[in-house]
Amino acid sequence: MRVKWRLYVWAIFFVLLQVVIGPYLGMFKVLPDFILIWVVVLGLTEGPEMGAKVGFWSGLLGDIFMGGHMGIGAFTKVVVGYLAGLVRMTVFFENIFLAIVVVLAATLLNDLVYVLFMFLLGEIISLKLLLFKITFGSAIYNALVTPIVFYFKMKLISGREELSSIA
Amino acid sequence: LRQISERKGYILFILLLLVSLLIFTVYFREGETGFLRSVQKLAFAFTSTVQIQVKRVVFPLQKGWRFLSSLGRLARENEVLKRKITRLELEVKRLESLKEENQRLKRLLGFKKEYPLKTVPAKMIGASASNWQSAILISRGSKSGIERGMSVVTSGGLVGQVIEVTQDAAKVLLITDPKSGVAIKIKRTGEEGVLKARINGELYLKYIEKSARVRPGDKVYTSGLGGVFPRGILVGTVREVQQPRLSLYKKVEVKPAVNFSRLEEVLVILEKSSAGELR
Repeated sequence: MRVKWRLYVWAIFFVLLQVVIGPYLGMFKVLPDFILIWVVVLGLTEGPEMGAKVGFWSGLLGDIFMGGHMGIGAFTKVVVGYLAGLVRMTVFFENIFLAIVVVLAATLLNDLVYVLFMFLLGEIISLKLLLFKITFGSAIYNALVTPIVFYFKMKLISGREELSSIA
Repeated sequence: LRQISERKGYILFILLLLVSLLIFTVYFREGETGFLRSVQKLAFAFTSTVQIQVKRVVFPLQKGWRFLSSLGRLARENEVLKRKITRLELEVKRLESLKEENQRLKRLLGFKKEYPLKTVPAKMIGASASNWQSAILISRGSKSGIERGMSVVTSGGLVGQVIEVTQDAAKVLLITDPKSGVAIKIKRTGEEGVLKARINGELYLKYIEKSARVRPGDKVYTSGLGGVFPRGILVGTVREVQQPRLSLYKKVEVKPAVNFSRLEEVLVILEKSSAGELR
C-alpha cells in the first residue's frame, strides 16, 4: 500500500495557512477553518481511515501552533475526518455539493464537540450564542472555501498521484 | 475482506480518539514547564517570527484597502471634525487653566506625585487564528522585560493580559475572550464584580447585586482585587442594566473602552498587579 505522505505534508501547509493567513481573512468576526475543510475533504475522498489519521495529525498540529488546550483539536478532527469518510462509503463522493454539505455539518459537529470539552473544563459556553454568532457564520464561510480546497485535492494532488502511479 | 478493513478503520478511529484524550489529560495536568507546553512555546516562537514578516507585507495593503473603503465616510467625518475642533479648542483653553489650578492645589496639599508605571510600547503583529480565542500577538517579548501575567493597555483602557512570551513576541489574551476575567469596580457606586466575556466578545458583569444602583453610562474600572490587573484602569462603560426575575444578580452589559478591531499599538505594564495605580 502506498503511503500517502503527501497528504500529511499538505496538512502542515493548511495548518500554517490557518495560523499565518487565517487571521487576515476574518469576515463578520468569523474565520475560515482550513484545517477542518482539509480533513473533511480528505475523509470524503480517501475514506474513514485516512480521514481519521490525517484528522489527528492536522488537529494536533493545529493545537500546537494555535495554542489552547492540546488534544481537543486532534479529537474533534479525528471525529469529523472519520465521519466524513463514512459518508464516502454510502454516497458518490466526487460531488462538490456533497462536500459543501458535509463541511457545513462537520463545522457544527466540530463546534459542539469543542463546547463539550469546554464544559468538562468548567467553562460554560452559551449554545445559542455559539450557534448564532460563530458556528453558523463559520460553517457558511467554510462551505464557501470548500470548493477551492476540494478542487485543489481532486485536481492537483490526486491528479499528480495518479500520474506518478501510472509512471 | 471489506469487513476486516472496516473493523481495522474503526479500531484505528477509537485508538486515535484515546490518544487525543491522553494528550488532553497530560496537557491539562502538566505544569507551565511541561513538555507539551514547551512544544507549544517553540511553535509560537516560530509562528510569531513568520507573522512579523507577513504583517510587514499585509499591513500596507490593509491600510490601502481601509483608506479606499472609507473615502465617503471621511468626507462626512471631515465636516463633523471641523466643528468639533472649534469646540475642543475652547475646551482645551478651559482645561489648561484648570490644569494650572490643579497643579497649584496639588503642591499646596502636598499630594505625592502620581506613581509612574513602567511601560513598554509594542505593536500588534497578528491575531489569533482560531474562532475560539480572542488574542493578539505583539512585537515585544522577554528581551524587553515582558513576562507572563503582565497587563496590557492602550490610551483607551484595558486590553488584556500576557499569556505567552518568547524573546521577541508575546501573546495577549484580550478581555473579550471568554477565558478572561477581570475584577472590576464601578466608580460611581463603588460596586465590585467580575467582568467576563461571551463567546462573541460581548462583555458583561457578574455578581452585581440586585440592590446595586448601577445605570447605563457608569464607568467600569479594574479593582485590583485578585492581583491580576493593576487598580484603576478603565475597562468600559455600562451599556445596559436588567434585572432578571429569578436572579439574585443584575444583568449588566458593558461596552469596552478599547476598540479591539482597531488595535495597533499597546502598552505593556512592566510591573505586575498591585504594584501601581493608574488613576
